[in-house]
Parts: sequence; C-alpha cells; structure tokens
Amino acid sequence: MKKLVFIVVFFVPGFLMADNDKGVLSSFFQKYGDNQEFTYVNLTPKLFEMFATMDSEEDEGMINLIKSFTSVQLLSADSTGKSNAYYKEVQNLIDGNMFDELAVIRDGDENVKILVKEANSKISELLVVVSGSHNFVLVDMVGNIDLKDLKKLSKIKMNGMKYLEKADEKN
Amino acid sequence: MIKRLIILFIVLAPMGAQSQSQAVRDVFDKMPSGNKYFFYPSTLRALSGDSKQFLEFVKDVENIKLMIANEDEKEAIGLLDVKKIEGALTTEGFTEMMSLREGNARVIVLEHDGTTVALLNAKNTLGIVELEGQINVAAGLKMLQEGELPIDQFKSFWEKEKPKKKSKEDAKQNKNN
Repeated sequence: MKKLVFIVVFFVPGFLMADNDKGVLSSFFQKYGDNQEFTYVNLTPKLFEMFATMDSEEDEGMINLIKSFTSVQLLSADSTGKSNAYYKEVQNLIDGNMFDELAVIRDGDENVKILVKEANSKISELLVVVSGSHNFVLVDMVGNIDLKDLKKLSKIKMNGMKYLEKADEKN
Repeated sequence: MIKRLIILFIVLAPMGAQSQSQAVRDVFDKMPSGNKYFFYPSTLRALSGDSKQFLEFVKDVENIKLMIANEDEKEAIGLLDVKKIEGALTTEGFTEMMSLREGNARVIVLEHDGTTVALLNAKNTLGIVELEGQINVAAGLKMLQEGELPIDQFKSFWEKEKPKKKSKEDAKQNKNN
C-alpha cells in the first residue's frame, strides 16, 4: 500500500436520507473490511451528525457539500490479483438496485464505473468502482448530494474520487 | 506507514472530547509517565511548522493527551488486547464514529455523550488520544485538500520523543507504583 488514504469528513442535515445509511454494498464492506489485502475506511452517520453541530465560516461551498453526506465507506487494494473478481461481485450486488450508470471510463489499465441512485437531480447514493490490472477501489457515499456538485467531490483526496471530474464532464 | 497512522490519529481522530471515560482513565493510570504526552497550544504551535491551516485547525484546542505503548509495555500492563478497551468503551455506551484499517493497523474513533476517544492499534503500538476543546473543521478540510499536514514536524517530534524500550520489570514496577 503506497500511502495511507487521508480522508475528509464532514456533516449531514437530518432530512432526505437515503434508503439506508450504509448503502447497498454493506455486505461487501462487511466481507472485506477485515481483509488485509484492503485498506478500509468507514465514516459513520454518527460522525456526520457530530460535524453538523460545528460552525464554520470558511470554505462554505465544500462544507455545504459535505453536509449532504450520511456515510462514506471505502475499500482500496493497491496490489491484488482479484480485481476483476471483486468488480464482478460488486456488479452482482448492484444489479437490480436501481442504479444508473453515470459514467464508464477507461483510464490506462483501469476500468472505472460511476453509478448513482438519483431523483430530481439529487443523488442518494454514489458508487465509484475502479478495477485495474493490480488494483481495486470501491467508494460508497450515501446522502443527499446535488448532481451539480460532482466536480467538487473530485477534489476530495480519496482513492477513486478523481474520476468524478471526468464523470461531470460527460454528464 | 505506522507513523502516518499515528499522525492521522493525533491530528484527525479526536473531534472534541470533553472528559475521559473510565476505561481510558484506567489505561492512562497504568501507563508510565514517559509514555504519556500532553500537547498544549504552545506545543501545537511549535509542531505546526509554517502551516497556517494547521494553526487555524488547532486554535481552539485546549490540550491533547496522547498515550503510546510498545509491545512490551502493552504486555506488562495487561493491555495485550485493544479489543478489551474497545469492549469496555462500548459497555460505557460508546459507538463508532469512524474507523480506518490498513494492514494490521487500525484506528477507531468512538463517541458517547460528548466524549470522543480514539484508539490506535498496530502490530507494535497501542495509542489512545483524548482532546479537550474544538478543532476547526473547515481549516482541517482545507489542510487536507492542500496537503498541508505538518508531517515532517510530527515525524521529528516522534523520533525524538517516542517511548524508549523498557524492560518488562521496569514496566511492572511502574504498574505496582
């Protein structure tokens, strides 16, 4: 693993929650959360609730964006021979769960899929799945995210997030 | 990697702890004084390097208490299993706010009734952090986005101050005292 993933964290308003706080891939995160092959990050609703009580006058745009999160989970493997298998496993869990493909990107040896559950330009769940020849990344963000804020999300320094800028261009 | 976890642990994990839980107090009481660190505003300013964002991030922090134990010390004071501490915190009503695991190193932050406790468990290290005061969330966010973490300063501090390896007898003696 090259670097520890530095995570950015924030808040959430108590309304317009997603169907559930953990997202449709909670079983996948449970299965691999303790797997040494992965780095695992779990930001719970309790954390976002706590941030919601903090005031800040700075960087209001980003703070407001983060207010729209309920939970964030990330699994990242930098050196794995099972990337395709993980990708298919995620795809099987997603099938039939009302996700729309926002973007499919090929970047070098990485295949990236960005999926959303969206209604009225509001995203209740955002998935970023990255499958490379030796790496795999899964990001699952649950909340009430404005579709027009996708590009802002790409600035968060977390594996896989850079592709949201490309998704925004395609959108 | 462990150092990065420790830095993250110090800087990000505690969000606004008000007082110690009993489980945390028990662990601190058992630890030799050389393994406990207290970061006051002046210390944090010294560690900030030239990072204005870091200074802004910690400006309302009253103090940070940090305890680090190596493998021998963990064994000598009966802290082999961090799960026991986590279990004791859960019994007190603490619930998980966030966790991060990389390899066999794990950071977990728990909260209960205004008290926040962060535990770091790595192969050779156990750490506990308590923070009094508030961090500036926006400054922290900006600092992370701009990669302005004063990592070198924290590394230097850690290299200078990290617990010296003590014998089990020393640790046991300290425990008895």
